Amino acid sequence: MAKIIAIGDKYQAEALESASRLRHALEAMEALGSGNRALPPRPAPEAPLPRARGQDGLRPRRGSSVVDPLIQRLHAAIEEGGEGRLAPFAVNDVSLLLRRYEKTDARLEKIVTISDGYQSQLREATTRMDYLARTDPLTGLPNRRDMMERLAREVARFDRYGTLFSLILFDIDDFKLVNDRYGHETGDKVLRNVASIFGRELRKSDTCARWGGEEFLVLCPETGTVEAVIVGEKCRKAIAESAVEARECRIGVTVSGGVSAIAAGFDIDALIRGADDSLYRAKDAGKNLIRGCEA
Amino acid sequence: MLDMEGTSSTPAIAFDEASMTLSIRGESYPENSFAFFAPVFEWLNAELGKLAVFKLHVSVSYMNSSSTKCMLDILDMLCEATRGGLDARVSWFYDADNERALDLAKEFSEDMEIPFDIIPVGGEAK
Repeated sequence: MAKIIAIGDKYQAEALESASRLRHALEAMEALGSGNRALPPRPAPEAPLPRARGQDGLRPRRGSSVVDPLIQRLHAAIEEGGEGRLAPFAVNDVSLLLRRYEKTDARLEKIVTISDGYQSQLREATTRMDYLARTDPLTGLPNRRDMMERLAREVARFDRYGTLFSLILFDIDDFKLVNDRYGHETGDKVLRNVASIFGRELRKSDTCARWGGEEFLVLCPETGTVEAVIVGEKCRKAIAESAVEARECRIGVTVSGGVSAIAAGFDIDALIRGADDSLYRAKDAGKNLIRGCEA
Repeated sequence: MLDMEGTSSTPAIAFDEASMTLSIRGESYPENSFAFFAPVFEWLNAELGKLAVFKLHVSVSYMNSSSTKCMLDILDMLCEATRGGLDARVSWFYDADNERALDLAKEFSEDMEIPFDIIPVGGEAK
């Protein structure tokens, strides 16, 4: 696409330059009358055209099917300059060719404008698709795929620079009961509410993704276990204190969370396993709790 | 008869004699648009002069630059034939949810001396 546009731009530059040369020639011819007694020297080349991508190939190519033989002869005459070179051409011929160039120029501009429109449309569609591919539609949070990419980057940063980070894996306690008792619509409402609390309570540098059905995974860059537990506690407390209204009931849920921190030799799987183990310990200890990794 | 089946990169192009309608639908980004559209130009050159009424229905959501040129050339041919007495009309369908598509339709219709209807399709407003 970009290449085609570039080619389109080049043709347009050719047409523009040809038109400007013809305009100069025509002015010169008109100034002298059609007798062409003596021609002034060819005008100095104008400043580079804004659309031109380079000087190469700006002149109409000889033998090209798009160039009129009359235009070729005219061009040769203008190129050579000197007196009387334009004598064989009538003013009418030149104006005709100029009009033709101007028409071509207008048409090329239209094609380029339209193509730019289609190109922007494609760009926007790509951006939208990229967003959709990374986002959980229900909560608007980054999805598992997006989080995996972030984790890979964080692990690489740790391996290279030793930059610490922690994960907190949250799971809504007894979420199945909410779905069973109040229906999936209410379940979705609860999920959206929990997601929005994470959005509010987490630090700007943290990222929360919807990891699975009722699981949320939080990435805390430059954060050790102790700090991560504090962050997790803040979220846990806020969630336990909130409720959603559904079917004239106030439905509150709690979450349990498990923390793991990066350490030498850990890959993504090991990290997530660590957070999962911590989460199980939180659940075992009675839910609505945050547990750090075992020392 | 003009009846070209569409592919993912080329539009379906067909003439319906009953309604005197040439329809172009799909997306258009063939590797060689000029070769792709050549049969259409050939057909228009041969048939347009014989017709009294002609409708063009365009429903193309994406075109590359060379297809854009071909489309403008087709519209030019219709304008020319209209000057020669043909009763021609263009219906340009666009996705109502896509503002840019409307701008593009207007860009195509601009300076074309032929009845040109720009018709929204779908959309939440309806």
